[in-house]
Amino acid sequence: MQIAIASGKGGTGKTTVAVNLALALSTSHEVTLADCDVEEPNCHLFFSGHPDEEIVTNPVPEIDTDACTLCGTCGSFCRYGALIVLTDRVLQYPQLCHSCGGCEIVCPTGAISMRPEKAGVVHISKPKPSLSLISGTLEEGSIHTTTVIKAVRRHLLRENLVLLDAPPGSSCAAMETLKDCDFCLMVTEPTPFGLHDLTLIHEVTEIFNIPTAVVINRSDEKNNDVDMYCTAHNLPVLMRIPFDRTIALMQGSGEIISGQDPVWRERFVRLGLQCLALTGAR
Amino acid sequence: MIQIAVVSGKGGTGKTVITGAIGSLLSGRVVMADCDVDAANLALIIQPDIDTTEPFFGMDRARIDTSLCNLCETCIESCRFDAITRHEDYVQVDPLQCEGCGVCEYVCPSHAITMVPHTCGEIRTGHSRYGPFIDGSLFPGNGNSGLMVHDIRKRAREIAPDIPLILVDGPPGIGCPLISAVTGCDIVILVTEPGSSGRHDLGRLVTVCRSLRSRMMMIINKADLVPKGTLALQESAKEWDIPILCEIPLDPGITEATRNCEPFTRKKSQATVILKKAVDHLKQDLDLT
Amino acid sequence: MQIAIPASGQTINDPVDTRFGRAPYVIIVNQESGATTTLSNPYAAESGGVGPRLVQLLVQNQVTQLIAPRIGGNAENALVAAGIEVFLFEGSGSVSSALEQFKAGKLVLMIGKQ
Ligand code: SF4
Ligand code: SF4
Ligand code: SF4
Ligand code: SF4
Repeated sequence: MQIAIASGKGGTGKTTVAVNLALALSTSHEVTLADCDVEEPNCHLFFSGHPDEEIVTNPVPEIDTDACTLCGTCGSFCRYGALIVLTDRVLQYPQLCHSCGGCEIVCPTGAISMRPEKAGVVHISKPKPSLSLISGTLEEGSIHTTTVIKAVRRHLLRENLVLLDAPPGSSCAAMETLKDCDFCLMVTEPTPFGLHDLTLIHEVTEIFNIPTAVVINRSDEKNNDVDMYCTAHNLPVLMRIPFDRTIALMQGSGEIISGQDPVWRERFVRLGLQCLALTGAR
Repeated sequence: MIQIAVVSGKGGTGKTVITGAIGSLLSGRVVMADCDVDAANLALIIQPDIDTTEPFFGMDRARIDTSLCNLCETCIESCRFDAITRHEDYVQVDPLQCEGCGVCEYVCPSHAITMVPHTCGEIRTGHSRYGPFIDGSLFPGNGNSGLMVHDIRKRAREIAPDIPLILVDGPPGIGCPLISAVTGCDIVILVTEPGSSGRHDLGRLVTVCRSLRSRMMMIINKADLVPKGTLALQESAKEWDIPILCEIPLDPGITEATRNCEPFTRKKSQATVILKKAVDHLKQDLDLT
Repeated sequence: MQIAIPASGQTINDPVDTRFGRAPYVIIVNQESGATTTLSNPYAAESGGVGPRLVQLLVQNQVTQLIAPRIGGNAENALVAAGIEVFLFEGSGSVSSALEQFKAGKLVLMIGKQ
């Protein structure tokens, strides 16, 4: 069972919901929390412990200058501008390389081989006996966001209850995270922005035909457009979180509210069970 | 032409609200370009009239002519993105997985594959009471946000060459679109808010911006929310040698204005006064006065 | 010295194209002999990496100078690396008029040593 926690953009409280939900459900289930927001992974900030590390790489070309005849074939092939053949050398921009392997195939002299370049890391830890955290982190300056997400996904077991903290937006990274999920919990705010972003992420879930529900954060703002949208599209609103300085403070200092406050723990357990019920599982 | 990008790494720090407010303070001398192409929101605040909407073509996508294909599956073996699947009596490209690299076209022995243009979003140009406006949106699940950001910035430079300033509302994250948005900007304004995750993301963002040789400035939003957090941000800023342009407190005026879909600087409030001073400072710095 | 100009058509009377990477043609002029060669841009209809690939084509055709409108990031890096000087041409006009302005020293050097 895979449940994605997503939002049209960051900062809507998506990570807060993911972390609290994972902690609350871990009292009754074997839970894996997968941080797929690899450009800004934040889940790990809420748990301590020494994780195992796995380096994620993607192949980039390496050119044997003795074998290269500067024929230019690789440079005119590469659609990403990652190779340019000058009169005296081949210029490489590994940060533009999409690792398609084309240059290696087209080089007539066999001068190109592929070497691994670091795209990111996956951290694996077990903050609690019934809670595993798999967290992906994109290497700064790398463009291989989906490579790192795929690496995180490889660690997820179908039979476990998996919560995925999805990257914001409707980009390819969000798609990569959402595509095999059974359910998506969309976190938004009752503002014109929140509504706009909610419609975007809702469109993605419709492409994949994933059942969804909504959590409204900062629910005390006087704007009911989001509620109207949810009613119109038959989206159940499962939780409303009012703005609260205590929550904000806790969040800011890396504490988990449902770990501290029994009322909130109860609310998140209920949220989790509702999600599971909506997916048809128990 | 001076280019300023407003970025935040993590979303929800009020980046777009602040971009809109800065834009309104520079009214008449600024082209605003929303490069947050996965969730373009600046128009909600700036309320531009849209003059043109044009399709945006991302990377080409592979197309297979099934009448020429002999089902040898060479393409499937060569595609590093698992974008081609074998069905009973045909092979098919999934346009959402295809990255347009052209490898399959090259390896196909029966020349059954061609690369064709692929519309993956729209770019809109228009004008608001503050000046020319451009934004773009990708259709859900389409990559190439970096390419689109590049295109939006190019159009921003062309749309009004006599306007001295381009203000870019940057995308979140530190990946490809962010790099496209920041490359070549004269100033990058980092909008941040206190809190442990805010600082963590900021560090990664600073590393990327620094590698692009950008001159950075910082705005701390909601600065009075977590005083300890703000202190920590000030320390980090000092450590990174990044000047703090201003600190904006939690201000009901901002929430109110955002709900009404306008820049908060149109009404007088504590936040307005602070930001106005900061922008005046920026103008002086850039010789725009 | 060979100088290149992106063009919308095949002759020097055709307008300079405002898109460097996607211009359908590139006209190369030998400044000593005045001879012109027209290359059709094989990448004009493609969407990715066109700028850098066109720069490589210029290098292979011994081009050392380029008259062009503003050029974006990746192509610019490639031009710098290839040591090609770029002169900014922002107006509209034919290839021949751009060349005249260049010869009269009216175009600003955008990339390359002063
Ligand atoms: S692997 Fe593909 S993207 Fe990378 S340099 Fe080679 S051709 Fe270009
Ligand atoms: S294709 Fe091979 S031989 Fe030709 S320039 Fe590239 S690396 Fe050198
Ligand atoms: S390589 Fe060409 S012929 Fe072979 S399966 Fe693919 S499309 Fe068909
Ligand atoms: S163009 Fe590249 S990514 Fe697309 S299907 Fe062909 S090999 Fe795969």
